[in-house]
Amino acid sequence: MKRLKQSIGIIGGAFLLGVAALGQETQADRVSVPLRDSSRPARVKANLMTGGITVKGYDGKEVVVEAQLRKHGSDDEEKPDKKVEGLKRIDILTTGLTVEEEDNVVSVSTGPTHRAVDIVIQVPFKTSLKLGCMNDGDVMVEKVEGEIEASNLNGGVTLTNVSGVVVAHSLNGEVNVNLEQVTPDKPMSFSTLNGDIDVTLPSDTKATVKMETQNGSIYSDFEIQMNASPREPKVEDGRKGGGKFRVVIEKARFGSINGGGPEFRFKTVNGNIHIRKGKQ
Amino acid sequence: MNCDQVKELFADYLVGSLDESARAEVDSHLAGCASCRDETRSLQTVWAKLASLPQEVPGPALDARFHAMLKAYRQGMKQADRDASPRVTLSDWLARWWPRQPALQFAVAVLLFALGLLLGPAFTQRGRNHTAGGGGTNDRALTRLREEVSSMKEMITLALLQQSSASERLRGVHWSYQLEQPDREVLSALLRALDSDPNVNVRLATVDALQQFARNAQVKQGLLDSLPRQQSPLVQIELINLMVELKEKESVPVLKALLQNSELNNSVRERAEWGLQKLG
Repeated sequence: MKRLKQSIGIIGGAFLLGVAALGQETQADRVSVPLRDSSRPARVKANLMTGGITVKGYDGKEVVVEAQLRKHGSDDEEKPDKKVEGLKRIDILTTGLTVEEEDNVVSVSTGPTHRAVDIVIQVPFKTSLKLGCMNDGDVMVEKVEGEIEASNLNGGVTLTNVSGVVVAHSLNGEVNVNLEQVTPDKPMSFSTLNGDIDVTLPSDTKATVKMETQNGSIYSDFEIQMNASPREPKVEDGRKGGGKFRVVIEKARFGSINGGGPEFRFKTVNGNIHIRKGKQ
Repeated sequence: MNCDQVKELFADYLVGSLDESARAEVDSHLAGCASCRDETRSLQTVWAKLASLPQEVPGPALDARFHAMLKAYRQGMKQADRDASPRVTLSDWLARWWPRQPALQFAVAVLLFALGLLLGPAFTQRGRNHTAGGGGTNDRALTRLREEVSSMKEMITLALLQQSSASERLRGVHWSYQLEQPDREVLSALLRALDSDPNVNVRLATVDALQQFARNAQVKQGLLDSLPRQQSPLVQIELINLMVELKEKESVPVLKALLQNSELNNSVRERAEWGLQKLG
């Protein structure tokens, strides 16, 4: 099916905008991309090696992308080197921003640069997102409704006032999600290795939650019906062979909210889990 | 390839079971034909909706009702044979009740007709339900139906695992929870997802899904092979936990090899050491 979408994109003719402006540090590269079919929700994909991504829903029909080189930080100052004595450093200041539109899918990327580039994207309210960061920046989303997939390696993931379905992961950062509305019957997943997970769900959300933390604690103000494990505990009966009888219940805690529903998974190893009741 | 030939291939195309050359031909046709393109798109939505259909299985009550009806029918037939002679007296008896006046005869006919209209649908409806349960080959038909339902679920799992949206792939993985005995193709697809799905949360969910089939040799080997290959420490920890839970001795050399890697994530290192201790 992926192939199908690709083929549709190709016949539509790839709409490509490559912007490699030699701008000044303070000036942001700004690109506005009209959608092929603005009656259908767009899908925006962005991946950054260094820097952060901020996505904001707005009342418009175009996807507006701004990229800005971050100013040198203190740790970016290089140690004095004999070779450069008496010379000035010449920076080639480019964000290498590339924005492509193919059949309502907008792909955003930056060029290979050792400097951090921050990206701000404005999207129509109803847009699906696939965002990924690695170093030196957070993934932030505000007021977007759709399927939201966000991951980060060393920074956090923060989604505020979003609706729809969320699949979020950060390795070393926190995952903070505030959902105003959830799409019924769709599973969600929130995971991190070293950070906390803090998720606010509408108070009438129906879900089966699977919560797991190795070294942290779990907190919630929902009435969670515990041990609604969809799978039977494992029973090992070794008594016939003179062994022992052992029942293994999965270490993860299963529970149901408002009678249960699709599985929402919360997994962290070294952090805490907070599941909060929102307004409804 | 013309439209009709392409339409024949749509189903295989959507499931992704076409070979490379056939797929390329369909792609190139779709590129040039708007009506086929629309049709694939609508088929795709139907496909997605099929996934949310609940499973229909005829209950034991249906069986019981069918057999009771069959018994009653057989008894009725025997009774009819035995009563072959008294039937003459029965018609005499009926004739005594039959009114002599044509007006009354007409009234009785109308009354019976109306009664037939009222009761007819109810009877035929019930009859149809019973025949759907299956005739003499009742059990065989039931088994076949069950097989069809489970292969349907397998198809849905496979189709969802190929989606470009992470939350749809997550749904695909969750569908596989419902399979009791998935075939090789589904297991391979899950193992492939565990190794190479771009989303960490989807990979985590596949560990959950594969857990229940871990006694299968193909699955066990796949899980062991995947451990050192995993990019995400979180998935590695999940796999170590699973190996310990299964008391899988074969994972000991894999864990030892893992610890040789000097770039191993600290949390994974701790967990691998913990695992070796538990298994050793």
